[in-house]
Amino acid sequence: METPKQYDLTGVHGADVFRNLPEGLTLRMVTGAIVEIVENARNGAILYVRVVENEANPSSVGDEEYVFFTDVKEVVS
Amino acid sequence: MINTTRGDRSLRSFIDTENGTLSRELYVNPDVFQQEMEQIFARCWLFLGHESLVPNPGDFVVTRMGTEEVLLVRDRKDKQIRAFLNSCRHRGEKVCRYDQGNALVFTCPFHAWTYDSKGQLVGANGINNPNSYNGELDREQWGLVEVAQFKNYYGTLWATWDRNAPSFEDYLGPFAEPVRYMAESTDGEDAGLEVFTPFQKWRVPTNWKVPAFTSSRDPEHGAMTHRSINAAAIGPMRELQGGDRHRQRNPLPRDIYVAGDHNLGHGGAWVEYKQPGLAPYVDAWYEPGVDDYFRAQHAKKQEKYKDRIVPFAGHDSGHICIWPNFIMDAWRWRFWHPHQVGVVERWSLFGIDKKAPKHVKDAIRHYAMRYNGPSGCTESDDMENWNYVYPASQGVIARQHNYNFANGFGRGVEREGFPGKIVFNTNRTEEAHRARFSRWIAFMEAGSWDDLYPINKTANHRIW
Repeated sequence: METPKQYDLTGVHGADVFRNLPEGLTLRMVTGAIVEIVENARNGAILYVRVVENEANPSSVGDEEYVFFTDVKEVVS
Repeated sequence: MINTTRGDRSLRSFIDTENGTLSRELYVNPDVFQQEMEQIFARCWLFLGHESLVPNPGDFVVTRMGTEEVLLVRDRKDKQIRAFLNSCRHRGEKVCRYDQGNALVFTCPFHAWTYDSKGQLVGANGINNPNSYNGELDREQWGLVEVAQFKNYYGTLWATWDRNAPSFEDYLGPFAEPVRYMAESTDGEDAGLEVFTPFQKWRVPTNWKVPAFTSSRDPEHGAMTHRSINAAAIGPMRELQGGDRHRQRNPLPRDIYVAGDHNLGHGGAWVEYKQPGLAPYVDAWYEPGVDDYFRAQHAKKQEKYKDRIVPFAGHDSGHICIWPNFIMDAWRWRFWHPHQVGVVERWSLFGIDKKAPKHVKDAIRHYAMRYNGPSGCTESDDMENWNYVYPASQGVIARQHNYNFANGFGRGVEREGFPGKIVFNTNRTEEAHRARFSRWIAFMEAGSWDDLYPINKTANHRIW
């Protein structure tokens, strides 16, 4: 699935886009896991997310954790 | 020992207990200041603020303990308020660079070490990267540094870095009830106040002890320092501001003292009422409807206290100092954060009934602004004095001449039935100022709380 254009995290506007990602959006992590944004710290760096899919570690599904922007690969939907 | 231009001297040698004087060196010497931070501010209970500054989960305020910033934050989950050093555990950068706000987390702008509202480390750049921390960074161990003890006392927030400090109530001793009383709303409800935000804070180029030790119950400064503003009668007492207001507002039979607790360091106005109850309300406000509100509130408070004698610092009695840097009266809480030997940061919080209507809150806020702070008409008078005390005390000649703390010297008495070393003196003396220095030298010389009252119940810190 292609990243929705308004959520392009690359380039000079990436930090600002990241800072304003809305709750409920799903993301693909660099590890391949899929997470849902529970809360955005809105500091351009940190999100609080819930794990939705994780083939590498299925027991982590449902876990909530803080992630750094470098851990996020792209917005899924 | 303190290094001076005239050789090393013991701290005690700077205080002339025979004559009621002390050296200006104590106010201008950088070594003294550094020792104060270690001996006093790292061990005392210090005032941090009021719970109404952080009403919602995730709310924070950056306050101070001595020269260090402290993050006061209400947790997003358990709703408790906690206090942490505002310094990242990795390289020491401030984790919060805003004065006040609401945050999910506090992320260090250096390497993104991130802390939640309980102060726990919850993330960092590379924390799970196999080429970096590889998941080996112990999050439990590397949380923000939390104060050793924290107390929410009827809405007022206090903390100490010393886990061996006594309980907050023991630290306050007989001054606990007045602090509780002054945190009541005007109808007598416990913890019934909130404070205005944003609050006043500004820096003054003077030593912290100039205002913190001697601005509480210093009645002889008023006639000269505040002559012009008293004549202008900016209110809320209007023409009563000039001196008659206490006679009108406070006619209950009473004895008035200046009292200084030489063991605890607290002190100030001490009014012993001789009968239960509160005096009748006296109208005082220009703004329409404000007296109506306070009159109704006062009637409720009169009912609460109809069979009780109010605490000694209550009911328009004046203000008290809680050692070392907090001065409190019924509507104004002032505290002094030392920055450098010749720089202090003053914070003022103004209490108002949580339930007061907007027109009453506006009246109080406007009065607080025109009375207090650098643009206020009254405290700008005080600041002029505080500002010039420091440069006029720094010179090599000036340092050779002691300050005079002898008003009422030798006339104070200890009375049966009062704990510790509370010295009662007549109501226009400097007894409370001297008590501060009894406690000051005790702290500066003490190796730990084991040497200090009230942990050491037999201690006698009175030096004069």
